[in-house]
Amino acid sequence: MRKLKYRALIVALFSTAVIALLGFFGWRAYNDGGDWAAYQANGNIYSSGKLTRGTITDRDGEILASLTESGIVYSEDALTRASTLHLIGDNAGNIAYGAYRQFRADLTGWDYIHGVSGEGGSVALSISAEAQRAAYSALEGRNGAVAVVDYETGEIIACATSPGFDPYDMPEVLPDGAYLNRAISAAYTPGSVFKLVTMAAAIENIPDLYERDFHCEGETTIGGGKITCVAKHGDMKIEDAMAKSCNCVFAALAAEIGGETMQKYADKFGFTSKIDITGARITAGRYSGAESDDTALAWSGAGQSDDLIVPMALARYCAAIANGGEINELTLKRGESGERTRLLEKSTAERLGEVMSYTVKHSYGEENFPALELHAKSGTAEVGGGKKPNSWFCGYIENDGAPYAFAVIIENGGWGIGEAADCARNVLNILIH
Amino acid sequence: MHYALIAIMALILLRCAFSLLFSGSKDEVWGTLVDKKGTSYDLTHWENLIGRSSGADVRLKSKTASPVHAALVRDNEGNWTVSDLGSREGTILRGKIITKRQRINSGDTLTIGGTELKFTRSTKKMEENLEATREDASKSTGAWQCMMLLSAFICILALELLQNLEAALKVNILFAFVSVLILAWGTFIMTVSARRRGFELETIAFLLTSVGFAVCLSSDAKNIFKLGICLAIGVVLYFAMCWFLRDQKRVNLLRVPIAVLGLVLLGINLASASTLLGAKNWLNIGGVSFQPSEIVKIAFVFAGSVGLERIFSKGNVVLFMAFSAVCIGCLAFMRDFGTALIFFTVYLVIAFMRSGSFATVFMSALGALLAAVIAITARPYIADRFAVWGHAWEDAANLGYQQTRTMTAVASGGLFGLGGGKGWFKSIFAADTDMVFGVVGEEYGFIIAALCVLFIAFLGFTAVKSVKNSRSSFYAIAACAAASFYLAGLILNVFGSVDILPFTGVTFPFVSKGGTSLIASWGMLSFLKAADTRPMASFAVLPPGTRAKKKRKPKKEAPDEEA
Repeated sequence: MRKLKYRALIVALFSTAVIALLGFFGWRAYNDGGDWAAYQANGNIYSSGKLTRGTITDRDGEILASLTESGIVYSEDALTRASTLHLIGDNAGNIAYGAYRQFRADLTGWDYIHGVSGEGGSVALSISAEAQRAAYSALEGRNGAVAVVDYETGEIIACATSPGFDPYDMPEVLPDGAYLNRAISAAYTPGSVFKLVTMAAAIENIPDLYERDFHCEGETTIGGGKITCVAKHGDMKIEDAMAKSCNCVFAALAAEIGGETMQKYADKFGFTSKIDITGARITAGRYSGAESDDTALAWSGAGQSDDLIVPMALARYCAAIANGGEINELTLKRGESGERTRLLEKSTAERLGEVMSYTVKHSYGEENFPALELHAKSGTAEVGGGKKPNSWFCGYIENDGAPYAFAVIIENGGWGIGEAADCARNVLNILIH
Repeated sequence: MHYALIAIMALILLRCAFSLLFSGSKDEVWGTLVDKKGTSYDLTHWENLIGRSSGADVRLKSKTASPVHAALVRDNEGNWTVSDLGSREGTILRGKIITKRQRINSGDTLTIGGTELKFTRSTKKMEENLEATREDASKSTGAWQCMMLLSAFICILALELLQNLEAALKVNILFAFVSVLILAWGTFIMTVSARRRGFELETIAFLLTSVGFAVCLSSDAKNIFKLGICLAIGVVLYFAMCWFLRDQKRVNLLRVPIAVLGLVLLGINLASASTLLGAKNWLNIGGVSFQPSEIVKIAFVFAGSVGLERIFSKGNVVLFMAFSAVCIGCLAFMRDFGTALIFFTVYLVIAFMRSGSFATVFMSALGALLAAVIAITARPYIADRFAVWGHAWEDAANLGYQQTRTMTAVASGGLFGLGGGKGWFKSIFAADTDMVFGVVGEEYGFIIAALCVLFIAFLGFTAVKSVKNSRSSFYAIAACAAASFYLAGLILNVFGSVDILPFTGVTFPFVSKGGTSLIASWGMLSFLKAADTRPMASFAVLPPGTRAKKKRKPKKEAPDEEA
């Protein structure tokens, strides 16, 4: 029997394996249990695929919505409801990203010891309800979006879209694209704001950029096609070319830099691909300088041609400029910054910041933005079809305690320095107070 | 309430571990061999291996003794035989080289490798006296404690479900737990009145069964009546098998017929199977459906477990290999790949225990691997199961459906559970069988689910421990094989349902809802019981001093008096 005694140890090995596997599973459940419990099939806390517990607040703890057996219960304030709807999500599930789904692992209230036997949890969004209301109001029902980012932390402070609606008072006929969050899910022709991209490529690829003398006759020919400006800008240095937003200069720079290099910069800055951020995904814009003929490439440097850009992606780029070229990847959840990402060389970011400040001083007028330490660039993007151009305004402020980068678009709003700039000013003024 | 359940389970586990694993009880002594120098060797088993090997029960230092030289075997009636196991020098009994198995009497001299050994067998009286001292020295088995803890466990479980489930199910709940209580007390009284003291294995089995009943009440309360009847059948089968296993001669006689019967059963199954869940492993007789493969497990243990002489005879595994191949082939043909895998695992354990050679096991594994590859390529849905293994979340709506939901359920329960009957997972198809770990985890918490797993693991250790003192290698192998059936089923059930292993859809012994599975689980417990040689512990073991009844004629017993 002694022989068998040793051979029987194979069964002991078996039993030991059971214990080891059990331990392994316990460890896995400890790490991933929150995600497992948050799975939509979990009938304990979901009802027809919808989470029935949890509270969503803004960054300061203001309750924006609660999830209940009967669906999402929104804020009591109509403006708050309408302005935050696209971030929270709707009961019908028509809105693409909503905190109720994105942050369900936080909302389940799961913990390893109690599972889901306790109360639901809560999640604090990175956005400020106040900024959100201000942004939504400033859009005044026009089609457009406001994106504001804390460039030091990567937290999204405002992510407003218009037109929206009050989920408790839905109009019978919703305006087109009412479910769309234009700040992250819509791409527009950028126009002159794209000159910030061309400028970055120029700083790093044209050594004598700041020594050069530029001249604008109001129009020029590149690759057999005509490039036009709104006026004859005459002789200038690169700073004034930016301040005056001279198409001829930036078109020529793009042509000189070349399509491949331009493409590389557009790609690197995240304008051409989807960007995963905590709680959502920024849709892809478009830049096709690498495949364009010379005229199209030239126009692309001035943000026309077939360029498309997403407001939040632009705000992200501005945040990188403001923050020495490096950012924490954006997040919609308070205090939960993504990975450090470097978009620009530090020196390039500084020079871009300087030229944006120069532009504010010499073109837009600091007096028009009292109390704001503003670096900015406007854009007036021609959209064709006899429509008014899209109005863009983007940049950042350096006020104490308000490290915000932003991008504002108003569809068919006309001059960038008009409608979009007014909208941005309103929001920023709320934010610095 | 779950704190109390956890406390009881932990106490029972400790209590059982204390008495089954850490009780260093004195050996039984059935005879002695004394050499010329006066060195005495106790024969502590019914089968004793003599030789130079470190694995021999009687270890001789003589260089001319073969490592595995001879076997001294006692039968139920107390008669001894000696046989040579193919030694180089041969075995000499009363001065003559033996060629076949020969009777050996007290006073006979056995010469092995030049060592002269005088054989004395224990008389009835000696056996009884020794048993008395063993009993005095042995530790308490805590049968009463176990029974009390078990009763409390069952009552708490019943109360919790009465509180949580709808009032209409009151009858079902009461039926379930009252029948478990009655059967448990019946078993206990049976044990005590047979003057046996071991009640650990029964406690564990009843405890796991009652957890299974709680799951069934929660998921499918109307089926509890059927399950209750099956438990009764299982308990009766358990006692019947315990009684049957007492007599090794009887076992040896019927071992082969039982194995053949198992094959016939599988054959009938194969011929007239109804398909359920993609596996054709169900038989329907007169409206009662049952799963023959579960019962065949018992036949498989009988077929695989053999005595010492057979182990050391050449090519002893070949016939069993063929038998296993047919069984596993049948199961594979029925598309019951999970059960086939379990049988194969148990086959490996038995083959290893019988041959002691990793080569045999390795070759078999290689053959099986080949067969598995063919099976997978021939049946794409098995390939699918393997494809999703470890990636269940990537296909949560489809191939990973069961696994992801099981994980969700276990995570939802946390450590202490949502309360019996209060979970959602039970409503998922087959949650109470293939994914029962999820239901227990969700409703009773991870700790209780883990304790259920630990109880089965504990049965494995118990089997291993019992080998040292078991009377014959038949009982040793049978205990290990039965434990392996439990363990293999458990591993595939639990870890398959949480995506650590491929999901195969097999049962958790005692806990999964399923009448045949419950009956087989109970039946196999008798193999563990039959290897328990602690003094007066096991109903399946005749105490020393008793002789098989048939041969208890005065004439035959006469030799006992001689020493």
